[in-house]
Amino acid sequence: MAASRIDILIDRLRSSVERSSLILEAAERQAYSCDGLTSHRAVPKLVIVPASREELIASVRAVIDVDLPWVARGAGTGLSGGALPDEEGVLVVTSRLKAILEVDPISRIAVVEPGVVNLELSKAVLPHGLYFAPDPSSQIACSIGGNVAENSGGAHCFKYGFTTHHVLALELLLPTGELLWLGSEGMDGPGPDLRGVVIGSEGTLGIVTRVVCRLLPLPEARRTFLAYFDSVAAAAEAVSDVVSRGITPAAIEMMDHLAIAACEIATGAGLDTTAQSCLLLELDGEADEVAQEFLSVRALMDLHGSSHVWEAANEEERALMWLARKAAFAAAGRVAPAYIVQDGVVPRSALPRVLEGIGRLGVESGLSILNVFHAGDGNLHPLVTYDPSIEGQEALAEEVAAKILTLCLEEGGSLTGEHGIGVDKVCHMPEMFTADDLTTFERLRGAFDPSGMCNRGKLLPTPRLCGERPGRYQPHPLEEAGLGERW
Amino acid sequence: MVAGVLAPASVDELGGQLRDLDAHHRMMIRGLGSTLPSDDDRIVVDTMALNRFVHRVDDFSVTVGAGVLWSALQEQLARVGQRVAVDPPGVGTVGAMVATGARGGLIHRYGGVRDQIIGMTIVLADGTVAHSGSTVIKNVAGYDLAKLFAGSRGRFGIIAEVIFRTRPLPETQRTLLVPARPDRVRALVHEILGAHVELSALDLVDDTLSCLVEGGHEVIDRRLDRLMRALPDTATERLDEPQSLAYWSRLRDLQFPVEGGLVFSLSARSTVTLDLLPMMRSTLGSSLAALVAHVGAGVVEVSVAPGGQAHRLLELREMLSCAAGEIRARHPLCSFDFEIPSSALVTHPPSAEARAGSTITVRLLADRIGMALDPNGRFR
Ligand SMILES: Cc1cc2nc3c(=O)[nH]c(=O)nc-3n(C[C@H](O)[C@H](O)[C@H](O)COP(=O)(O)OP(=O)(O)OC[C@H]3O[C@@H](n4cnc5c(N)ncnc54)[C@H](O)[C@@H]3O)c2cc1C
Repeated sequence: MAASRIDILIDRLRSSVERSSLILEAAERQAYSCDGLTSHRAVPKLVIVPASREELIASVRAVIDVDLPWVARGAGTGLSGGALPDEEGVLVVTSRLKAILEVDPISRIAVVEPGVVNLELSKAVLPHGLYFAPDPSSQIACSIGGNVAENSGGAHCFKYGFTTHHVLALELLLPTGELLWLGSEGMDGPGPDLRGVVIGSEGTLGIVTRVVCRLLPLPEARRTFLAYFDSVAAAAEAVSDVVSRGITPAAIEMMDHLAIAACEIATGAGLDTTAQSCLLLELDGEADEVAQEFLSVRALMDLHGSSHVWEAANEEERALMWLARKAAFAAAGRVAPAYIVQDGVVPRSALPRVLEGIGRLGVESGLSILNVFHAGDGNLHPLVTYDPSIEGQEALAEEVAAKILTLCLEEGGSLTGEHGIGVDKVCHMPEMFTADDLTTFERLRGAFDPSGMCNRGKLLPTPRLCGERPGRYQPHPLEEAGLGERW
Repeated sequence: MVAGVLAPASVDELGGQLRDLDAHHRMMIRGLGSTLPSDDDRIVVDTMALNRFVHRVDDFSVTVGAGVLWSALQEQLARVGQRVAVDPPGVGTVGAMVATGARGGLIHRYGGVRDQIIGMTIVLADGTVAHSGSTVIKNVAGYDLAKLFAGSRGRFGIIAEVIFRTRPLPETQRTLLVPARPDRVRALVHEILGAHVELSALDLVDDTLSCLVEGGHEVIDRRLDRLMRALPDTATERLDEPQSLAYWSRLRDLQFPVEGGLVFSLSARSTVTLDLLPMMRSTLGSSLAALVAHVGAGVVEVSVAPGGQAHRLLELREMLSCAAGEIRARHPLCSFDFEIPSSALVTHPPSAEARAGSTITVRLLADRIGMALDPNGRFR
């Protein structure tokens, strides 16, 4: 049945969209089979890459008309499988919708298409002394539509907030085919904040077709430095102390000994690999205030026994520090052939306890766990490394990763701080939410998507999904040779 | 006569009470002040006993029952040097402040009340108790129900508990008053925003731009000097801490309805609101009680005197749609009662939509959500 609907759809689309907007070849569709969560793959029946907003709207409506399931995709950098295609349906990719439609430097807003790459917007508004604050580490590639869907944050979100604080309005094509604007071009729109409901909804409530972004002025001054400690607990306490003194650094990142060592090998940035932990702190804002805060923070680092501090003397050194911090994921590959990254969140005061717990899990399992994370907001990114060629180690790593999430939830935290639920954590949802919470989410979703065809199987657990556990993807030799696919 | 009053002392009790009620009985949520017409036969849900208060001081978050007074919340937090960074006018419960999307001048730097909430417990008409968010500031698990309920005026269910992110209470504050003739406002705003002094609030009232600077004792005066230097040709006036506190308290009062009057709120691109201000003043004439514009945020509070309010509303709406064609406005005392077609929000008009029913209004979508969460329309 589905096959014939697809044929009808393709037939209709051929007359309404550019030829180049349709990807029909199996081998080409294969390229879209996963997002950043490469352990889950599915090949969609059809990929549409609309050339314009009008094409996007027309083609999604055509998909809705033939009643096929569909999934939106931006740049495909998501880490929870949010853009994993539906094998019975259509993948709609926004990567060609890259126009910055308008910049209003006085009102400090920009109107953009959803496929605009995060960093490109900041570059475009730089001449006005402005930037788009959400800065996920993937910002050279990820799209603003994807940021909206995931409510993305970045290293600087402790001070500046998440995408939801920087997107004022959005135009949404509902799963019913209807189009509407949510939010307003001011800071606080009228009535219930449906804009805020859509932000972070992981592509389950429709596809975002235009976005009004709030822009911030570039900070006048910035100071970045690394402080080393003899223990993880001391660094964690230093973080709490800084924050409780009323100082809000733009970023407070933390690495443990294993992460420092791995990042140093990967980048040669000059990190002190003898330290047990380090904090990367960045203060920004008005010059006077930053100077004052720097003195206070330096004193607090000393107070908490920081062995030494390396302050970036210039922009190159600052870039080097960030490079080292952001190399953690790649560096994990040097510790072991594979790793699982978690994204749990805990209240800041629980950091020392939870880190200790993670350390214990590492010792008990014999797996190396690198800790590198956004300490200001308690968002952990433990990298549980393992060797898939050793029998049972992958399952062990998954078990350890799951236990880390349990630790986070026991402290009143969250399953995910920025990567989203997607398919990856969908079966963990009942650990964080009650049955009533989940039914309420379902009722809300149903109001947007009564037929349940938009990114189905994501975000909310279903018995069909969570009865079974997906294994790590093993491409079949036929698939590797491009000769066959899993349907 | 109202049909009855429920006064639950806990979220679970509230859930149980609603489950036990006849599914069709209409309800009304009452915090501190709501008044009901005496012939209304609704059941009142009085939230005043929902007064849980758990402050995680080191984590800068607080869980607070809907019935706690906003002022009591802020007083408690201030004792340990913290606050929720929203400064709404009037008195009321936390639930009411959230349900009405409260805000004040601090919207400039911190956003509205919706932006301070990190978790919420709600109770639906059928007694379902649901949570979203948690006590951590960074969290993307599940739908953000708090956003749905902030500003919803009780349409979808009852806000029972709210978890706020708290922030350090600034050590001190100053205000710079900048006289701003209508033809100079835009240029002055530009100069002020370009001064590299981070403002907590920037309001325009009666031809005066009010710049609130908050921060540490040691640098605050230097920061204010700097702001003044950015406005060399303007005779500004500095307010020290006590004066500044009194001044902002007065501005807050202006955003509260005068006896028998109403306050309309408009939200739009900030340049558009600036352009519209003179027109709003002349259109509303003597019925305008006060006009407070949070100019950087693009939000304007229009307080009108009693009498002919429906007419004022229409005038305002007419003016907005003619002048800008891109503003939706709300009427805070009667929900999102009036609305301009949502197709025209930004200056790029969408191409003619091909089929009927291809666009819907926010109102309609909100009604669908209302149907999903409150199918019997108990809260309508
Ligand atoms: C190396 C690396 C580092 C990362 N660092 C961070 C980080 O620091 N912080 C962070 O928050 N995330 C981070 N991420 C995750 C990811 O980059 C973000 O979630 C990003 O916002 C996804 O954008 P995308 O365009 O790639 O979206 P995709 O992966 O294509 O899609 C993500 C989700 O958005 C939906 N979607 C996409 N476009 C639309 C649209 N127009 N309308 C509706 N739904 C849509 C999809 O259906 C899917 O559910 C990182 C990822 C990588 C690979």
